[in-house]
Amino acid sequence: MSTTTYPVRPGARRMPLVAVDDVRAAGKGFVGRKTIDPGDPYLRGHFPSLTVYPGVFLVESLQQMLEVHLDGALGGVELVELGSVRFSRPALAGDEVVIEAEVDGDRDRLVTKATCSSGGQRLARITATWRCRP
Amino acid sequence: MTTTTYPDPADLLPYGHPALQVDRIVRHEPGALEAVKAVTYHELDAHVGDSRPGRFPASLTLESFLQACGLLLMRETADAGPDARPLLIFGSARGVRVTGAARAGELLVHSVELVDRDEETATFTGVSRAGDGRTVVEVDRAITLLRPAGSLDGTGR
Repeated sequence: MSTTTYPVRPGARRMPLVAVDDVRAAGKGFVGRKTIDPGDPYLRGHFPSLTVYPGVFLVESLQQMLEVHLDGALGGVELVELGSVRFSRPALAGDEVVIEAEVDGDRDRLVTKATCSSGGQRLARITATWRCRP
Repeated sequence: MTTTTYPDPADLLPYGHPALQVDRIVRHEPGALEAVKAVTYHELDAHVGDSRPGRFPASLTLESFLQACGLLLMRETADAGPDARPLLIFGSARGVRVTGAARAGELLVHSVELVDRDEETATFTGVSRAGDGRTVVEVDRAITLLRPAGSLDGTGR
C-alpha cells in the first residue's frame, strides 16, 4: 500500500506524527491504513529497545483518518470523548494497521465505531465522539 | 517548610526521549499522585516543524495522563525494586472527555487516583488541568495491564 501525503488545513493543529498512510471510503465510513515506522517522531523512545505504537496513537490515527475522510486534508477535527477503547494486542514496527470505521452524525457531533487490526488480528476497538471546527 | 523530593519520572518509567511525557512528580500519597508536564513550542515545533496554534494534542495529553498513572503505580511498588516493577500496558478506558488543550507555555497537571488493583490490572481515574486550572481531560476509568518487565521484547522475567 502506497503512502499518500495529505495537505494540512491552514491554522489547524499539527500532528505529533503523521499517523495515516491512506484512507478510502467504505460502507458507512472508511478504511484507513498506517504502517508503523520506528523512525516516526515519538516512537524512538517508545520503547528504546522495541518500537511499540502507543495505544493512544491508534486514536490519533483514527482522528487523522477521519479528517482525511471528511475533507481530504489533515486537521479540523477535535476529539470530544472516548466512550470506550479496548486494546487487544500491540502494534509493532513494520505492522500495517488497518482501521475500519463507521461514521455517524453531523459535523457538530460525529460518532465513530472503529476496529483496528493488523494481519487479520484485532488490535483495538474504539468508540469515539468528535466535532469539526467551524 | 519541608519540601518532598520525588524520584525522576525517567528513572521510574521505561520510556525514552521523546516519548516520556511527564516531567515531574509534585505530590504523592497512598493511592493518589500529581505530576506535571511542561508544554513548549520547543517540543511541538521540533517534531512537526510549524505548529500553530501551539496546542498539545489530545492523544499526547492522554498518553501523558497514562504515564502519570504509571508513575503512581511505580511509587506504590517502590519497595519492590526496579527489576520487580511491572510493565504497564494501556488496556482499556471509558468515559474520557476532552474539554480543552494545554497551550505552549503552560503546565499540564495530572491528578490521578488508583481505584483498584489486582495481580494483572490496575484501574485509575483522574483529571488533567492546564495553566489557569481549567480542565482539559477527565477520565472516568483507565485500566492498565500489568506485565513482567521486559515482557514486550521477550526478556520478561
